[in-house]
Amino acid sequence: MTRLLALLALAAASASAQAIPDTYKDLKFPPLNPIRIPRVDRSVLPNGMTLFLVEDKELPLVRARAIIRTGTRWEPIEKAGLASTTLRVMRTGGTPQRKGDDLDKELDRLAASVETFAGEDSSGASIFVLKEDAPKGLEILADILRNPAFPQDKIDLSKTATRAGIARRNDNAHGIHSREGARLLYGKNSPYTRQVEYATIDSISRDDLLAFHKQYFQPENVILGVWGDFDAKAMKDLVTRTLGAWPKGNQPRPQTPAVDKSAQATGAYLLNKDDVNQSNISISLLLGRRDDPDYHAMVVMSQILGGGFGSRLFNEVRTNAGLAYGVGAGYRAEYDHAGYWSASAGTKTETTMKALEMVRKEISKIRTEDVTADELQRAKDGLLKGEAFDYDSTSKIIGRLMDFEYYGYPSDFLARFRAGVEKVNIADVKRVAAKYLDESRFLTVILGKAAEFDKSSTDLKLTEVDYAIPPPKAAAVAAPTGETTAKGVALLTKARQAHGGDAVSNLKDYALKLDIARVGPQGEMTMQAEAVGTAAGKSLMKLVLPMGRIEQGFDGNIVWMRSPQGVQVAPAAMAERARQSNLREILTLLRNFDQPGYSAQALGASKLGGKDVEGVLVSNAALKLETKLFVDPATGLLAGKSYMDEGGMGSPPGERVETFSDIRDVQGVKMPFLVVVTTGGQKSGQQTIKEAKINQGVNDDAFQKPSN
Amino acid sequence: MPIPSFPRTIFIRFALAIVLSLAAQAQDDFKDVMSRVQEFTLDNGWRFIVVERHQAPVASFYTYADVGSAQEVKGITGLAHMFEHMAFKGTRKIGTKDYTQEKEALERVDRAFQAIQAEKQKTGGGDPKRVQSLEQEFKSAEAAAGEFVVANEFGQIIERSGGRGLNASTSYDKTDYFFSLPSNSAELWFYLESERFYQPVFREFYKEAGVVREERRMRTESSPQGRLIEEFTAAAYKAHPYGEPVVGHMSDLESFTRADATEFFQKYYGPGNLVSVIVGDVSSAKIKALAEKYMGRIAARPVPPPLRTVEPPQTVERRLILRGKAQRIAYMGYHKPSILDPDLAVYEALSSILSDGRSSRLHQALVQKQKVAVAAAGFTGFPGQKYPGLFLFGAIPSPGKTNEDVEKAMLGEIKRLIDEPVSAEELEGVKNRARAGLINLLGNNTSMASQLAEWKALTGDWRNLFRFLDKLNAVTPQDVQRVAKETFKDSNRTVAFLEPEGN
Repeated sequence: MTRLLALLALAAASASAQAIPDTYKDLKFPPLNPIRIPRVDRSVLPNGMTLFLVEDKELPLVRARAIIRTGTRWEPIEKAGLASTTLRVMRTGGTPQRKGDDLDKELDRLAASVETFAGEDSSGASIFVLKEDAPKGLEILADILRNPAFPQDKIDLSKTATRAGIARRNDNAHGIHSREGARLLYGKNSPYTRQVEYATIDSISRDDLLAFHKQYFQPENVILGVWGDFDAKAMKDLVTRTLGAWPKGNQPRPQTPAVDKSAQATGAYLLNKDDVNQSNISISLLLGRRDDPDYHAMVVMSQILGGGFGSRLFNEVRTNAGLAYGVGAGYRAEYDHAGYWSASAGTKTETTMKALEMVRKEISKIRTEDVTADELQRAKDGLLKGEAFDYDSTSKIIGRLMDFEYYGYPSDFLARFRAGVEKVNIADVKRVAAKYLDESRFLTVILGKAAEFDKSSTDLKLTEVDYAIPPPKAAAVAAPTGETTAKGVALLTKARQAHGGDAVSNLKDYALKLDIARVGPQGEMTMQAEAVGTAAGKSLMKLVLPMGRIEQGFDGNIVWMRSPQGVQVAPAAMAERARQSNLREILTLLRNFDQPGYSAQALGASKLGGKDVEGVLVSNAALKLETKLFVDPATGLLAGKSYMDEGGMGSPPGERVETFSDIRDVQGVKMPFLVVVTTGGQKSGQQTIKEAKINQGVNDDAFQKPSN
Repeated sequence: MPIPSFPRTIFIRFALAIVLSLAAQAQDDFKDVMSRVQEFTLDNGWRFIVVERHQAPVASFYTYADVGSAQEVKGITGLAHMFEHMAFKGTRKIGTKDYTQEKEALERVDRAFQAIQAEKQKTGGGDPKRVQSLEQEFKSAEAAAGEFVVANEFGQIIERSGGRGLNASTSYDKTDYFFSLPSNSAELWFYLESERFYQPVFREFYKEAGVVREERRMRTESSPQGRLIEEFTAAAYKAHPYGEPVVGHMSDLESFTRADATEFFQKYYGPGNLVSVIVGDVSSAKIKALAEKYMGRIAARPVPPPLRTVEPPQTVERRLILRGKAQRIAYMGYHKPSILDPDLAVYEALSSILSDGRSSRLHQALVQKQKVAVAAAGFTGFPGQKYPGLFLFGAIPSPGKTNEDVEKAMLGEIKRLIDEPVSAEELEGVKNRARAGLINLLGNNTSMASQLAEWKALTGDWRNLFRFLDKLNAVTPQDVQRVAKETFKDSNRTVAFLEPEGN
């Protein structure tokens, strides 16, 4: 009896064990429930705006998305940043009826959002509201699209945020790599690589925003999609009442700028960065559009080479070699202009070339050898089997149709894409790889610490790319006229006289003892210093610091430093800073302003430290010099100076303003004994002279780099 | 008496009406979805939640393993995350050409690795010649084991079946595994997920450790911002494992072994430590049958004991500066209680008032008015919620402004929270946004699955996701003021600055 029970138990156990198939391949699935595609209502309003509506009553929400035919590719290169500033301030600045700050408050309280944002091919707007707030959301959107107020304070705030973005754009290795890679690929002047610089953002005015708005914001340029918990007819009425009331703009439709494929760089480029221990590597080239006949085959080929788990690059570089975390390849074709193909990997510094060569080897292999039937099927399965996910949310369905509409693609483009992928065969894969992955056109870009790269077996020559951030330029000054130049020269001639006349012109050298205070994160720190220099621009500074004495010398060519740790030569950039700094010295400027190559242009009256002053811009294009001097019109003495500093060495870029006081006579030359420095409006330091001598006769040897 | 009592009474009535109307709305909004949530626990302790949502023929599958880097000790830091990578390496049936032979080969790899470690640990770093020859043996053992591998088969099965969003993540609190499938192939998830936690094989372990080291280089070592977070967290915690980096220390990533991973798996991946949630076009009854069939085959194991170490109260302010090739960032963290604290909703209200939207206090004060920052926020949830975490403030100074400037401005806003009650309007916004956020969550299978799993695992009941709205509705300005006063003390603060090199 017990034996029989045991036997039965065993049978039951093995039955249940057999119920789990030995391999997943034996699993049998029921048919998929039907994919339901909601009714999409498309119409064009009398004012030219295209409208898509989809009812979706699952949740008590209403959402909208607008595609607007404007974007960074249409902004002038010298005003890069105009599209994003315009779109941002449309929302933050509000309208005459609805102030931006009030909108912020009201929308945050309603848990709603209405936003506008710039993109490259197009710009956009969005609404998220609880269904009862739908009328409010659409009224707000219509108002900010039609009547933006563009208040100056919000423009300034937006520009500050943009400047912060510029200052921070080299903080992230991946960001540098993708940005500079795109600039090499499309060219620096391409509409598809608009780069905001201090100079371009500084040049943008409120009038530019108004003009940009007038040119692009018209209902003919808008495709609006609304979906959520509403009745389609009622929603159409609501949209007609709000955005439908926007009159036609009758501005020409923006034309798609073409890509200049000849601008693409080829060969290998280095973005040197010495504080990383992982390199970012990419190989890329400009290619085509989504409606190209070979698009499907290229997508399938890229999937086999570098898309997802089980691609060749993932298996070889990541799984098998353990060389990378991120690795892959993909074809980013665009809708209406040339896109690009790329393969990329991130690997430790000392395996940079090894990983690059592995990627190259896989590319070369797919160009010359057939892929297997299983690889082809894997790629197709991955691309095609999840069709249900193309329809799993209303936002995907409506968003896709809006995109097709915007680019003039057929509404069944997705179905055509699927059919195209289905047809790709092994020969197609090899054919397109061989045709398009042309090694002579490859652009290789490596970001990393070049000094520690492993050796390239192909003796790869890397061209270094400078990705430093161009410093801000001095605020734009009106073009010089005969009048302003004459006045500038007169003011500085008076200043030279006031500061000692011939004594200024005949100055040979100086020796100062001074206290230098610097305002930094730890508060104010004061150092004692001695400075010696010559009219020719050589200088030597001795600093007494808690850790010992430090000397820093400039012999006209190099900057050297002597500390308790020994003698070092500073990077070349420091020598350039030393040269600039000497040219900016007030006595040097007063001596040189009327020399050939220099210009002195009066800027008019202004205030400095509460005092009335006359500004003069002294510049010398060949020497890259631009400094403003401020003259006290009563005495002719200099009250201060200002210049743009590119930052670095821990100081932010920005305008430095020096204010002079306690002006004393030193052997016939008038020198300010107290100089207060501000950067970007914040006090950043001051210098107090305790003792000053001139024309002591300094031996040039003093400026030479000591041997130890 | 400067103010008659009349407006006050009106105000209280008004506030009460808001609370009541919201409470009523909350029930209406979520009654339907709550009724569609089913849960069951297998005999072995594996917990399941199922939400039927038939909008599209797809379903999301989400497994929450109640183990994160907080379960690591020195020497195995990074192992929870390493395990997450190993969970894609397959099982005895998946990813191998012949498991019996592969098993032998893998043991040879382990022996070779341990021999290298043993030699290197000798005084003076061992004999370099011997290390070299051991490394040769290791390489050849790895190559031999590699012969049996079907590379990345686990992931490929999912991709080839139309799977989407395949991924996993590791945090201080948890490790989660997720993807979505066309709903008719739900059984495939049961097959794979039960295999994964039934008889996983940690193949390619030492190669994958190389991949993880690259991940550490990418996220931390080559990123000044990543290094700042690591240093900040280490400074804020001196006893609790929240102070250790999730990705682990480099020396541990170079030396932990497959045996360490097996031990970790045995201890923390018993079925009683797992919660799985399925949301989508499925039938709860079928799901339960499949769970019993597939997950039911795994034997129960003891649930791991709770963590002993408790972070002692911080009594000294801690400050650090990291200098790197990057622009300024300031972080400021105050210790706060875990997700189980009765004041959880009050902390959420604080965070929302400080940070949500352009009308939030930090944006208004730091970005708009004082113009010292281009972005600023204060929030909870870091490093985790299971154990006492931090109320973290972060700000990005405007050009020309310093970390000290933003710190001062943030402290000003903190002082305001302590000195004055927040307004009824601000609290109303908090409550409205929480409700809208929860409604929005219901439209996404994966997000809903992860939230239900997290509340279930951390608080014992998924309903707390919805009850949290009621708790939030009950928060008063006095609560906010009290909690701000208790939390934002100088001695309870850790401050970290990223400064550009040379400053």
